[in-house]
Amino acid sequence: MYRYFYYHVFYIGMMNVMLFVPHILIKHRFDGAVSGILAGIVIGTVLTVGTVYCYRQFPELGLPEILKRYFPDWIVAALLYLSCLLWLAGGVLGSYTFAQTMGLFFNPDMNHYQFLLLIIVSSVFAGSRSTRTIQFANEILFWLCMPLLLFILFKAFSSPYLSWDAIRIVAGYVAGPPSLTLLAASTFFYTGYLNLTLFNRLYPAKFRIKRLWSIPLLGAFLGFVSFFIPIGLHGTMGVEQYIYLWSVTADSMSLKYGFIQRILFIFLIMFTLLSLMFMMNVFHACMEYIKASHPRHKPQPEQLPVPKTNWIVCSFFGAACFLFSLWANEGRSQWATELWLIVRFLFELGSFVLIIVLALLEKRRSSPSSRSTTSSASSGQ
Amino acid sequence: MIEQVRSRFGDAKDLVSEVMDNGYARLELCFFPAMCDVDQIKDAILVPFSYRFDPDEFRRMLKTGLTFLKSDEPKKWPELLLKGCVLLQYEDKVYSFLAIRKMQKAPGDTEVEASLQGPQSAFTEDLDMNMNLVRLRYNSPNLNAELMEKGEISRTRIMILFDREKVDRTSLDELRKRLESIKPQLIQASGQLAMYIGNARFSMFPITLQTERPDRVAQLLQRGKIAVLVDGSRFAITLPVRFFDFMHAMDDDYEPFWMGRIIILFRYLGMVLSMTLPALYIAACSYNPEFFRVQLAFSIDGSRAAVPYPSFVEVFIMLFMIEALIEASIRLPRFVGSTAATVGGLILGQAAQQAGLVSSIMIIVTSVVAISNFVIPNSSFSYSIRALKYVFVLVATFYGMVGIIVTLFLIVVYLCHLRSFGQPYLAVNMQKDQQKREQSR
Repeated sequence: MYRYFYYHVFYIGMMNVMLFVPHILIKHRFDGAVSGILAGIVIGTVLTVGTVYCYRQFPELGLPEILKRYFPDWIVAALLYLSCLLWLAGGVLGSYTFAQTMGLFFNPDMNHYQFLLLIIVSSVFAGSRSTRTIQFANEILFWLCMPLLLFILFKAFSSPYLSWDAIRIVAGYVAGPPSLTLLAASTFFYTGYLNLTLFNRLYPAKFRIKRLWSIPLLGAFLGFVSFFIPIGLHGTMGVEQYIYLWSVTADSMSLKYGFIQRILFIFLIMFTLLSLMFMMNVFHACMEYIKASHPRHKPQPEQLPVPKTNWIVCSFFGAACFLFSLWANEGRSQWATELWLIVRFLFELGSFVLIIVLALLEKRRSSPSSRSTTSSASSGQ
Repeated sequence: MIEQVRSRFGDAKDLVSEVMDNGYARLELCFFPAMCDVDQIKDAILVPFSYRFDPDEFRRMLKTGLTFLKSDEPKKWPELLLKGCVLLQYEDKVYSFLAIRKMQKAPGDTEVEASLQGPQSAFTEDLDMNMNLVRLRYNSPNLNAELMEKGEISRTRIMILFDREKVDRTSLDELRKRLESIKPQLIQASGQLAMYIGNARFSMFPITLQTERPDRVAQLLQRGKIAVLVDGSRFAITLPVRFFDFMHAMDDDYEPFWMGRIIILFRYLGMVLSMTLPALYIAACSYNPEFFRVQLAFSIDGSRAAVPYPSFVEVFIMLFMIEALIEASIRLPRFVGSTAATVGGLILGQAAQQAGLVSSIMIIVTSVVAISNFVIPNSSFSYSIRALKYVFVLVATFYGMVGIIVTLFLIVVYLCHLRSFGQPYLAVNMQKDQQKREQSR
């Protein structure tokens, strides 16, 4: 069961490429990026492990249900709308960059909005499914992406043009303290743990997420790969010329044999799947938050047929993506993404504190009752 | 009795009704000779009644015989007659005698799901014979059988089979609920019933598996699934099923492990090719020639030099041809079938390409699509794949390569979204999860 948790951590960690995280890190590669990644490992691990431990107090409950235990309805609704807005912003930004990238590298002549339509329609369809469906789909899609990722990594590491010297030089700039932006960017690799806020509903009682030691390893791996491989392939200076950094990086590798010559296309296939996965999860999570903001809503992880509300709510999200793309251009979306990363980071810290407080309250509330049951049991004997 | 029955059937000419008198006693008899085994009637009724007549013995026989049932309710008489019973009235009491004429005396041969070294016997169109086949293979007292009648007019007998200890209760309840809720007029094939209980008329994939193999039914029963046998149909419906069950042929279990796995792998490859290849052709010709290796892109484009219209028209022409050919060879009688195949093969093979109607690569694509489709062991599933191919073609016509990947994503999500009687359709490692869940409780 706990593997589902890691699928989330994985695909959100991978989505960094679509949300300009490598670009931000590389902009500051001589002043704080490396230390930022290192600090990110510590912060990300603390956030993840802490949250996982806190959620153990609330078996089979998602964030909305937990909040409803302690707060009046209107505060719950406000908090849920806030987190929905935050995630939706991530999804919107992701969809925009995704549509841009695909347009740029796949069909340069095609209308940008036409692409966006395809993405939005599929995300609305996928996001409106039930929570359990999303969980299953994550697993299958993960296994579809994994071989492609391993292949790309293999090609990157075995490429003769990968300059380890360049990597070593940049790795040497470890001294500078990271700025807030860098911290926000480098903790993004760990954000996947936040799926617990919703998917904790599916995990049975007494369920433990095992192998938490792999979180820092996984995050550090993702961080170093998406930061250092472009540097290795483009050199310490050339690397800052690109916005869609990883697409260009993938394009600098080639296949000698096989139907496909440019690694770029393998990369794009993988990221199409990953981005759609991300959009699906974001739409679904936001939809569930909005539905849960109603005071009498009962969570239903398995719901067939798909209720109409799901479609309606998700269509609004789709419309939001569309509206954003009317306003956005490359510069604006980059600015907005940077801002979003920072807000997300602060929000994560805030929600971390909140969940710790709630978990402590829950512990205090449940411990006297458990003590009384044990004493009564022992007296019964 | 005879007048009553006659009036109910409107003086049907194929109904035999006789009053027999052997000098000592009178016997009223009516039955449909077309539905009854006349030899059996002769042995069981006529001989004891006529030249071996002994009133005491005859009465005793009627009272104790296994096949003689007392039926005093006139309302049930027509029903019994229609099932193939003989109604007889002796000393003011009405008895029914079961003398159904059986067409099938032996198990059938596998026709749809052939197997090289597995059992060659298949279900027949007779429910009792099928029950025999299942009981023989699943020789356990845990096997539960529930009899039902469905269809207002056809009144088809339906048998629900499951292993009492292994069956998944939620699926069983769901099945019962759905069987109660449907009110069809005629049920002639198990596929029809499967559609009624499937509850998803617009589903792209079958959520029940139909099989003609008793060994497969036994295997599925052992895994806790439910089988539904329909009288008059060679196919059993099994449920709940998962995506992977459709890609599984019985031979896989009878061959050494690794050979089976490799064949299964090829089957999945065939499925993916059969779905996406025409779409990939469109994408490669009209949108993303740069996606493939330069030489390959050139040779695709070069072979299209003589073709006067865009690639999707070409794809539609060829796919229509191949679908027509497949349909023709299924529907046509055996003797004409080979003609259709030869003519179709000639046209598809050479002429179309030489005439410049389609490219030679398109011909390869078409044949790969057709052949890969036949690799799928289950016919209703291969229909689904055949249909899905057009979804891919349509999306690729508008979006090229990206469209194909997005459609692939959508199909994965859709498969995960499907439920077969409450069980997930596409999910991996479900059993392990279930065990863990039970352990933790």
